Amino acid sequence: MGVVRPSTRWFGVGHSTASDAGDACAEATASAIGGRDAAILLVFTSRDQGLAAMAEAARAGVGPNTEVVGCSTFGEFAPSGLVSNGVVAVALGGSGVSVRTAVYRNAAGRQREAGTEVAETVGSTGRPHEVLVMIPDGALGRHHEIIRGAYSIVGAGIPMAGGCAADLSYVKTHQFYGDHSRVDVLSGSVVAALIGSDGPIGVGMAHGWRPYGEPMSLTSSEETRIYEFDHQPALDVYLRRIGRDASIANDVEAMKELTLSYPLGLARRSGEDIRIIYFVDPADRSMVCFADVHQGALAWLMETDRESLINSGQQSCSQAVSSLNGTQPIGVIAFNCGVRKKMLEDGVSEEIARIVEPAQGAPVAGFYSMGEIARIRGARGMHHLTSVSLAFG
Amino acid sequence: MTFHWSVHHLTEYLSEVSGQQDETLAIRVAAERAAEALDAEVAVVIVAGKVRACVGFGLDDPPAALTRNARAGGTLLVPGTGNLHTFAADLGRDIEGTLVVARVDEPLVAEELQMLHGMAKMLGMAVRGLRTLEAERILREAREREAQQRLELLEAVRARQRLVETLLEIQRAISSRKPLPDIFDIITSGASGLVEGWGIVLVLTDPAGQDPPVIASRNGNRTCDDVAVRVGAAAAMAAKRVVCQTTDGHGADGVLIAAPVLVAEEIVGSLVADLPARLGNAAEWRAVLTAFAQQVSLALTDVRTIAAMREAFHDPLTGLANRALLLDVLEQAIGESNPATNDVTVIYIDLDGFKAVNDSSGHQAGDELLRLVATRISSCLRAGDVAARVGGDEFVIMLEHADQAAGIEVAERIISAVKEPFHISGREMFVAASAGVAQKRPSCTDAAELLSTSDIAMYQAKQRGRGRAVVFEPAMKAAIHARMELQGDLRRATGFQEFSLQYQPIVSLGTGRPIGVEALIRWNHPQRGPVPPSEFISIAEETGIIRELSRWVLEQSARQASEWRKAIPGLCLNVNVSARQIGFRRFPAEVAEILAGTGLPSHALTLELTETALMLDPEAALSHLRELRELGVQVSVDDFGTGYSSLSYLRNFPVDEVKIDRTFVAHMDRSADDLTLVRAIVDLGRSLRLQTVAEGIENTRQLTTLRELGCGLGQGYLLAQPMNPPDVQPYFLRRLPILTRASTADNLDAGRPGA
Repeated sequence: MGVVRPSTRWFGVGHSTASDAGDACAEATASAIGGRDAAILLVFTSRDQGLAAMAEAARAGVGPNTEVVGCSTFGEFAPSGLVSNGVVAVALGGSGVSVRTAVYRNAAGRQREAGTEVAETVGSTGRPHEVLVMIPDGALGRHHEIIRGAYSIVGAGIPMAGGCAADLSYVKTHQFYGDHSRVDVLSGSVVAALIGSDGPIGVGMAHGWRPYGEPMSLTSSEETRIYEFDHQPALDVYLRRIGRDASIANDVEAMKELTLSYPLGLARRSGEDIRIIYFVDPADRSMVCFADVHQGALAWLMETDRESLINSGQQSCSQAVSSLNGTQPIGVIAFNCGVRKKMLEDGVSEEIARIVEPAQGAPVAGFYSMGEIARIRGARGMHHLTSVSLAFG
Repeated sequence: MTFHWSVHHLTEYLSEVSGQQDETLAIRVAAERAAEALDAEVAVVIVAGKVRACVGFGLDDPPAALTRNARAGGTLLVPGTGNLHTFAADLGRDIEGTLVVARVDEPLVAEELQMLHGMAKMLGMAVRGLRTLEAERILREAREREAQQRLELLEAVRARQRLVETLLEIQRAISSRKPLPDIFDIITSGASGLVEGWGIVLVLTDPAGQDPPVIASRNGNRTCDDVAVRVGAAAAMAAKRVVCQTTDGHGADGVLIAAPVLVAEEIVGSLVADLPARLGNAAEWRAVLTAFAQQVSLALTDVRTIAAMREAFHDPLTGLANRALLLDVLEQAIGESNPATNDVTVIYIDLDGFKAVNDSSGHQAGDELLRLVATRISSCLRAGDVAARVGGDEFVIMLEHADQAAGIEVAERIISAVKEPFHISGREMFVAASAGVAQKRPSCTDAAELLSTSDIAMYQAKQRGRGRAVVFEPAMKAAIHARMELQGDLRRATGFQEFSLQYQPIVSLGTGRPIGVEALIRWNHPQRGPVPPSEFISIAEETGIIRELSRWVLEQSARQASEWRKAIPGLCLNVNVSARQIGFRRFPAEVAEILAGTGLPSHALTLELTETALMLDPEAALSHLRELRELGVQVSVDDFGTGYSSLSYLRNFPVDEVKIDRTFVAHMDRSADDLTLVRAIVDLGRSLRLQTVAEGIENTRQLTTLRELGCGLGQGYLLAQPMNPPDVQPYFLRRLPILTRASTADNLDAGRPGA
């Protein structure tokens, strides 16, 4: 028998705002990896140009044992704070870390199948601690089904974390997937990485929203569209509840602001399952959400404030770190809802600073997403307007 | 607010679970949503002892401890998952099943347990509902299957009915003698209709024996091309039975079924069905195709029989009935005719001038003319009348339910129609028709007899001047016999001993002096005595003797005139030329030879032709007359006013003289019309600088009138009767006693315009 060496795990973060996309990615990658043999490189960028060059730079920057995943974002941040129009790279490696990745292309209309297949494909790393990190296209819709599909495969033994790829222009999101031989820039796909570690892995989540006013019953809905609350036109009830005139319904921009400030919360045992309203139809007075809303559900309007949002980010990270059961974190990845960034505006830096706090000096990096994934307890894993943290010990 | 949460969650749960399509899906959704609603990691649905859905263990089976005694509940430590608190609820009435939920670390509180029971009941309800629906669906499907089977049965009956109807339509088409291509199209279209509109192609061997076979008809959608169809057809024809071949045309698998088509045990083609594979394998279609191939055989056999019949009973040139068919239908008509009315009438038509067309323009033009004449004859008939071509240029029409008067009417209609010019190969041609009309007589029982009587009447029509219709009379029979005898006698008489010439002087009406003679032929029959030219000239023309006879007349009279001119210088000679003679190719040369041989100067000779003779073959006539004019010979139009009397030929032909027919002269003093006509002819002659000669002057009134009209010359009994040669010279010398030979000659020559 040889000498049993203690397993090593490292977590590196790099970022760059170099004007050339390829250079930026190369710099961020090099910085994150720091000349080590990484098991996985995660690349996040809010740029919508030069994605192919970034993919190539990522490919060129990794070794033969490194898997590459990533996505476009509403914004990304490094320990130093928000990285404006740049690239953030997170690398994880060491002898105590193993990674297996999978992708399901063209997942539109086959969300459950996509979730099932990527979870089946990644299989197992054989490490005592595992987390399934999922990066679906944020524009796919029906993300709950992706998570249900994945959960049906991995079961309660493996937590899930992740965020949906976003896009500043709201046109098309992108995902990175590959390794040192080739990195693809995809759209409409579901990317997954099963990260196995000898050290503990913790997932935390918090949103900072609270119910506002009395609950309402969804008396008429169809898939993602709500026609009625309490047997009255949904839009009218909504505007009345927040004390706004019905005429605002025709003002698209004003309605967008309003619906982001007052999302819908579906009653759940452990809190509210938040639904972002992204479209209102003044013609039939209906409202359309990002995810399914079932007839018969009980719902509240949700509200928040700057402080609650900032606190929730810290709460999420703290929860993740505490899940490490005392093990010193080596790094944290945060998946934060893009709406939070928009609502916080100049408070983003403060939020980031607060998220970093519980990490006990370990590097924290992440991106602003279009839907967050965290399954820690129970079977639900898809969330909105939420801050999810993934801590590695 | 948790009480709100749980109640409303049940509603949402029910709406999701019951909205699923089938039981399996409903159970899976029920397990997943139950776990999600209760924040449980695990949910299992067990129905009838089997795990139907399991959430939370990934690809692993749920622990046996969890499922074996699910209702018992309790805690269960699952490695990798944690310490599970398990709870179970029954699905309720009629469904032996359990919904099990297990949560890590936290047991369900009372309200959550209540909700679990509610969820289980709702799943039970949903499953029952789905099972009821499923049962109903199965029942409905069974009913629908039954209904479908009934429909299929009905469809099979209808298909059979359609097949019978289609076959009947084809039979009707065949029996009504529709054109063969139409019948083929009905067959392929009918067969295609029975195979859901797929392709049916009829391939037939080229009658000329050329390769490849001909596609005679096609209908419907196709899976492959003509080449594949021909290959299939060839296989069926070689095998002499139905063959099937697979194809892969246009990317879709298909089947060709080809059935051979036979006529009198000879393979003549194949009917090919080009079907998609699913239809091509049905034995039924093979039977259907064979049935349709037999229809093609029937149609072809029928047409071949008809063709054979047509060949036997129709004239191939004109398509009219032939003599055999005519006699047959005539026999039937006679048999069926009413003995009281005898209403069967036959018209016998013979073309006048056809031989000249045939001789001058060739057989092709002749054949075309006959076809056109047949068409014109047919256009003059009613639907039930039968027209036949019974000889070269002879046609017979049988009219049923028509008497003699109707027969005359039809005959005259035909004569008028045929008289119109024909345009053949860019040339205008004229023929005339003579018609004999004969109605069945009470005594007549024989088709041949009736035909013969109409023939006799036609003959009479020709005798009476052509282009006319004559009704049969019994006396004609005797006449025809006499004529037949005469014909024999005429043949026998060739040697000309029985023929002689008389000469009738032509007199200047102004001076009363003779200026020349017209040579007239006489036949002195050894038994019958003198036979008038009107009786034997036509026989001579028919028998072809006319050529020798004409030459003899011209030679004799020219020699005679030349002799007379020694004593009577300036004497002119008029000789009649028959219609047949002017068309002879060597006629101008013969005239030149005779003039040279007899020493008669050409300007002393005038050839008399009838209008009909000029019009029979105008081109030949014109050409020959120009040659004669070059010789110096004069041309006279005989019997002017009885024929075409066309001003254009007077202008176009080299004519010097017109002779006014004796019938006009005879009636001139009684008929204003005839007088007008004579005056017109005289005026016309003056205008065109033509000499006018009046024939048949028999009294002084006529003479006076003609003198007054300004007619130049005349002939007739009043002036001088035809005389034998020895009497001619004394006659002339008597009329010119005081003239010297020279002055006589001058005077006589002055009487002629061409002199």
